[in-house]
Amino acid sequence: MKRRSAPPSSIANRRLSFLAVAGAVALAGVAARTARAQMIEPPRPPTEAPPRAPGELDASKLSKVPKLKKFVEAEYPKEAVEKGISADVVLLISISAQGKVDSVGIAEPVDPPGLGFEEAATIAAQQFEFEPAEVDGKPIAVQISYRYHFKLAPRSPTPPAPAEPSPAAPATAAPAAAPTAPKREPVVNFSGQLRERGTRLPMAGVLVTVFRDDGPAAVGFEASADATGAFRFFDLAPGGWKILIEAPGYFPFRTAEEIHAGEATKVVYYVEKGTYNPFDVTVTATRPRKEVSRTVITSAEIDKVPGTAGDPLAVIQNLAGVARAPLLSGLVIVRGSAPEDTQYFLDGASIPLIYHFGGLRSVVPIGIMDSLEFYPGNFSPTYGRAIGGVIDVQVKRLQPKKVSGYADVSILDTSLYLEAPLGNKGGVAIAGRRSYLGTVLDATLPSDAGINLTVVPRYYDYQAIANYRPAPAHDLRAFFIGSDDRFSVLFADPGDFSTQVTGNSFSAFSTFYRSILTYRYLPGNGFENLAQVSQGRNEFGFSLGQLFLDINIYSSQLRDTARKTFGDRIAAMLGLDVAFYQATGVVRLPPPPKEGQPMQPTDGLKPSLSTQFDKVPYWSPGAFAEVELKPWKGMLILPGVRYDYFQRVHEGILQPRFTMRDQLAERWTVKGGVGLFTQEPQFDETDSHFGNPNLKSERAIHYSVGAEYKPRPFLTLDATLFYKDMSHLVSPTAAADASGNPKRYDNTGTGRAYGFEIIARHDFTHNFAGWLTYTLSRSTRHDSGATEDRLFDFDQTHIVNVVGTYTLPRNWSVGGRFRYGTGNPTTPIVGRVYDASRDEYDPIYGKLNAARVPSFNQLDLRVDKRWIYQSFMLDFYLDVQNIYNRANPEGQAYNYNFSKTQIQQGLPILPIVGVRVDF
Amino acid sequence: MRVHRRFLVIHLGLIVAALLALAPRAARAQAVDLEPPRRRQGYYLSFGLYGAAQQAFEKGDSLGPWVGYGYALRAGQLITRRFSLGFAIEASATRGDGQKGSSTALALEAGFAIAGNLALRGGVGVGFMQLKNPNDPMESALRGAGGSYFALGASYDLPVGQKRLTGGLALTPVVQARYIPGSDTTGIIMFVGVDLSYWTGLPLNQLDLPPGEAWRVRKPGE
Repeated sequence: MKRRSAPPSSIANRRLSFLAVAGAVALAGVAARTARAQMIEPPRPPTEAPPRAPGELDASKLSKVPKLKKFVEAEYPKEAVEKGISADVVLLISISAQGKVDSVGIAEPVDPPGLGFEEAATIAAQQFEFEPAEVDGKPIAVQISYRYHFKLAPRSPTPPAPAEPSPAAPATAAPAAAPTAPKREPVVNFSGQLRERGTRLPMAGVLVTVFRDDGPAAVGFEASADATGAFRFFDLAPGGWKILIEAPGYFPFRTAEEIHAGEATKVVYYVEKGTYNPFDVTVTATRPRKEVSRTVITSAEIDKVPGTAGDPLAVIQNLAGVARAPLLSGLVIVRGSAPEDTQYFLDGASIPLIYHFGGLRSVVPIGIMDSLEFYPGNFSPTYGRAIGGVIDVQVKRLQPKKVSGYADVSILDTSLYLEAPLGNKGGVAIAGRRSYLGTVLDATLPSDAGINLTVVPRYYDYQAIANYRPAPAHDLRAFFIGSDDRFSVLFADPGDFSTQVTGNSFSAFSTFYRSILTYRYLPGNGFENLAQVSQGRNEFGFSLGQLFLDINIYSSQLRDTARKTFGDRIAAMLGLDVAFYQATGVVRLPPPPKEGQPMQPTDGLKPSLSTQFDKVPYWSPGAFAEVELKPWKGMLILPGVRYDYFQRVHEGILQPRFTMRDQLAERWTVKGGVGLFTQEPQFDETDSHFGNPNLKSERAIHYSVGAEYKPRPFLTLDATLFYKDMSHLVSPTAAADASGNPKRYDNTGTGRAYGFEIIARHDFTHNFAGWLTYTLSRSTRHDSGATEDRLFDFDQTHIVNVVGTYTLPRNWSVGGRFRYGTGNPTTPIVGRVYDASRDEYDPIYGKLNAARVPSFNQLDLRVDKRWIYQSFMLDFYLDVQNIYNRANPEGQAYNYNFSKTQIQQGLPILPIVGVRVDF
Repeated sequence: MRVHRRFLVIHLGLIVAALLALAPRAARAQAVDLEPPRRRQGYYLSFGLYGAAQQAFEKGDSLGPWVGYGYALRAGQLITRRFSLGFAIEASATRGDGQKGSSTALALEAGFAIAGNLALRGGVGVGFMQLKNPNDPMESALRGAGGSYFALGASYDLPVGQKRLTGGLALTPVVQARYIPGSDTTGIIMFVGVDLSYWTGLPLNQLDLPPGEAWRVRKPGE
């Protein structure tokens, strides 16, 4: 099979059009995955990067911009010299990783056209030589824009030379005029725009060929599209012309046009790509690795992970070191730490939750995400108030070239996203999502269920972003996010729910919002400052008969991070991180069960405690510093320190942290770290009614050591040994204080978590992206007053995740996710006691967490199909979870007298379909 | 327990086979290849009618074979010259031993042309099989299986109708087996029948054509 249709032989006789043919070769440089940076001559820091097109690399990711080594002066066009005309030609120059010029194209049409400026600049630029651009010290191919100035030196006036035919004379025929005849200006009579079908992005540098081969004189001409995708032909003879547009990676575009005398024909051509690869937008370079363990998953990868139904943060459950959380719990369990030990950040600002309804859906839609950064331990001093892990969702840096967005409809919810450019220096975007879960439930609940959903379960979230970069040194961003979940149920017979509860209603809600303002100052002398202010509110409540809870917390956070590099070997970072809270609430509940305490059927019968507080302020100032030392090539040493003061527990702690990485060889890196991490107890644990106001903060020392091996550029193998020594853990106690009042909690709990993680990751190439993770771990706790250690509630010895997505031709992709996890520990019931007063049995528990529920394994499959239309794309996906319908255990249930047990099963096979329109 | 393990092995085997069938073919088509015009090209939509024979295993008892009919609606696309992906909705109704059986399924289906128009097809998805005894007035609960669904079969496209540059109608004889496992009941259903398939063909710019065909004047809206 031929790769393309053979063009007619007459094309071989094509003439030079108004743009240099050599420049047109630049289309090869516009290949989808070529990293691109833009700069204006003279080369400036890559901070003026214009909006990125698919496959482009944000210029700020470059560690070194290309530097012009050899400049070649262009020949000044003779006619322009004679006419005394100056001009600027903006070229698109593709530079190879070796610094050679691969191709040159015209980025902007020259004014005035037709004098030969473009040709002269193109020929000269083809002889340029550069020091190549670099990312992380590795040379990469880039494409830059280069402004070539043609400026005449002042001269004494001379009489005009006789007119000569222009080198860019009308294409159809040489001018027939005599040398003395008046020169006719060429006329554009066929022009148009080249746009990528589906995305409507301009196709710069692509050749447009017009030809006719049906007459006696076969003839053809070419023009190259400029940066806006515009192309022009001058003085085409009337009649039919065939058009051919061929660009690498695109289907050929063939059509025919009729040119009429005295008329200008304008067209817009939409050229279809061979494959609309979702990974085209993957950022190919991320911040250099400093931490011992950091996993970065881009939104493009996340979007296609099977089993997540397109939910961006569901992917967290598939990362190394993360234990499988119980179904719809919304918990994130990192390296044997309790769920509350892990902090969530949105662009560095703390947020209270990341999931709607306990894990059903994340509060961050894929449209506003750039990537997900996950630190399972030994994280930088910039992060604090957590002894487990850190999850930082990076928000998209808007640089839209056009108004675009998407609408995503699934069986759970519908979301919308819209972004638009803000001049050429910024962008704005809005997004929102609303569930219709309640409507589905309402329709499917049988009429005799005895339940009336007074407020159907529903969630929504909304976001707005604005980016503005008035000058390269100043980068401003405003981000707003809000989320709301709530539902309310009326029971026809309250006894159906519990005989211990009065009233027949059950309602719960959780809502929060955050506004985050960020200002990044990059004066370009090795100094950088990032200031961030966030403000918001968290409110959550619960009501079940006589039991209720309503907490309202206003939260503000101020962060400032300054970084200065001193030469190539030293950089220093200094920062402030101050959090302020004001809490109001009213609570009447029994003391909540804590980790390590098996749920008792009598939990709800414990005497309720009440507390009420109004505008109680507390704050937590923090400061951090870190030095980056590069004593020799490949070595990076990061000593740092963080100080946090927790006003609620009146304690300040200095936390030294240290990490190092050493690239021993091109493919091998060793790494290690040790550091102290702290967090304050949970709010209820320091409440005078529910807990112990004299508690102190919890601590953990993280140790980790590992190695990375990169056998191929797209393949990374990462192995890490970790050990976490937890102390001062808040632990329930039966002891009393000096006054004889129960302490309820003390700080004498300890714990250990240790294990081994392996990550094998295949970046997107050869149509495949995916990863395999294996975690071997053990996590134990020693409770207050206990004589021996016990297993942590979510201790899972083996955790395996295999995730892969394969892109197929014709815009299909298929993916699979396999998960295996050891079952969670459970406390066996070894006997029962009959309570005649309540006519109920109470269980007698055996050794704490001495048994386990059976292991978990599940395979999910996902298929995506994308249809490309002229100005939008339609995506359909089918995500089938638990494809072999395994009855996975989620826990154990007992009969009324605890004599029989049964495994509680998780989700059966579950197909989820969704449709998304990108425009 | 032994039965469950065996079924699990079968499930995994089928899935792995399906994935293996996907992978090597997909690896080929990276560039924008232009294909010569063929009948079996582009998207397909087909409706099939089949004779069906169902064998069920209910709590160790073998029920069947019961005979009846089945039908299916399929839609998909040939994404390389040999490999197709699509979706299928299938249903069947059988009876025997005074009882009735029915099945429905929604599946992801993959096809692979092994020679010319002869293709193997396999599917995974969600399926349900229901057994009913009309003569048993005491039968209260639904009997059957629900959950995973697997299918394996072969088909052959016989082009019919007016000859077109690309795509067209085809009659497609089909042989297929479906497998619906459950905890108490498992069903295997065999089908033999014919699909009436319509292939849309490819747009002209995706075909390797002589210049005379390649530069047709665009029709309005084309």
